[in-house]
Amino acid sequence: MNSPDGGEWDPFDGISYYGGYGASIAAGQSYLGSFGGGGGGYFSTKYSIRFATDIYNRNGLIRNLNIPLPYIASEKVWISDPVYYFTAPTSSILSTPLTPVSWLNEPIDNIFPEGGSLASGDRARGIVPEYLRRCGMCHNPEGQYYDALAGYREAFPIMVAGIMGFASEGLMYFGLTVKGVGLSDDIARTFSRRSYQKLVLEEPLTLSRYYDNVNAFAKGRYMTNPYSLTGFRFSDRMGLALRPQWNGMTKVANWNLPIGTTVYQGRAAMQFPWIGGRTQYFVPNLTNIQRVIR
Amino acid sequence: MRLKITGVSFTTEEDWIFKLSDGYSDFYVLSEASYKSIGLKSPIGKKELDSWDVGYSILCETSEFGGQQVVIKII
Repeated sequence: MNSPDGGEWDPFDGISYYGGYGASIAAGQSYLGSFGGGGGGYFSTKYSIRFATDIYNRNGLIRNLNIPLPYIASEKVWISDPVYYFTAPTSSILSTPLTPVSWLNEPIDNIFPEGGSLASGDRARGIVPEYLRRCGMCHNPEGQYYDALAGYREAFPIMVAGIMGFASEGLMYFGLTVKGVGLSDDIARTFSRRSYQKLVLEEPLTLSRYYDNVNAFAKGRYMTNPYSLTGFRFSDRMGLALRPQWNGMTKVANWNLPIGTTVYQGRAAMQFPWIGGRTQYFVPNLTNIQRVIR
Repeated sequence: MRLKITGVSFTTEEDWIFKLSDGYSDFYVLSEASYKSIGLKSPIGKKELDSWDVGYSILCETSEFGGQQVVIKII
């Protein structure tokens, strides 16, 4: 499919909508089905419909909207500059109009202000899929690389889990992400600040991993969320802190983890010069996981 | 020597990460802290933690410390 700009644009490759409430925000795995861009709508994957909708791109949570998904799902495509700028009309996904901004020069809060919400009837005109997809790892004006969305990705699970203390669906998030206890330090130090949380899955979970069949194989203990893979190898290598000698990252394997599987979740620790910061899972027991062919 | 992994432990309950065997005796890849206590550097990293599992066999060098056969180098 071509975008209005004439470039390739896969509607399933950009923004995803996740719904839910309470701690399910943190999980964001409550998959109910998919819908494409019928009638020109370029919204990609639809997740559960409850009392709120979370907008994810492949790199993580962008924002939570206090509106059920159907209001958004019926909307049409929004045309944008797919490179480094985007604009939104007055009736935008945010409550205030956006003007062209440069991602690299603007703080993320200027682009997605806190408190922005979608009133009923507003038109959820989108956010640039192609644009956001390549922004998992940006560099600031000083030239330092950083994960522009990391704060959002971390803040919501922590906030929701801390306040609500329960989950209605998806993974259960109890407590805050704090320095983990239980894992040997050999594994703990592969998580940023040795912070991780132990999760016992109450619903199946699909995770992905890069491999090259030379140094890293399809089956392995370190995985990440499928939607966090941008497809840009350098960006993913940077975010997942995968040294080239560990993993050529030529292939991606998806694995389904059944209910009851114990996983440890945190953020990848820096393996200098690969800075890490993306969500990383450590799966101690690989016996029961099933390969998912997509 | 070639050893086969017979057990894994990623928790602090054990002082080893991988338990190995040559068919007669047990050998251990210790936790980093345990290696440090005997003045050695851990021979494994994230790559080995990622992929090594029960049944996997490795070529390595071992040495005895305190009555325990310890892997000191991966070949």
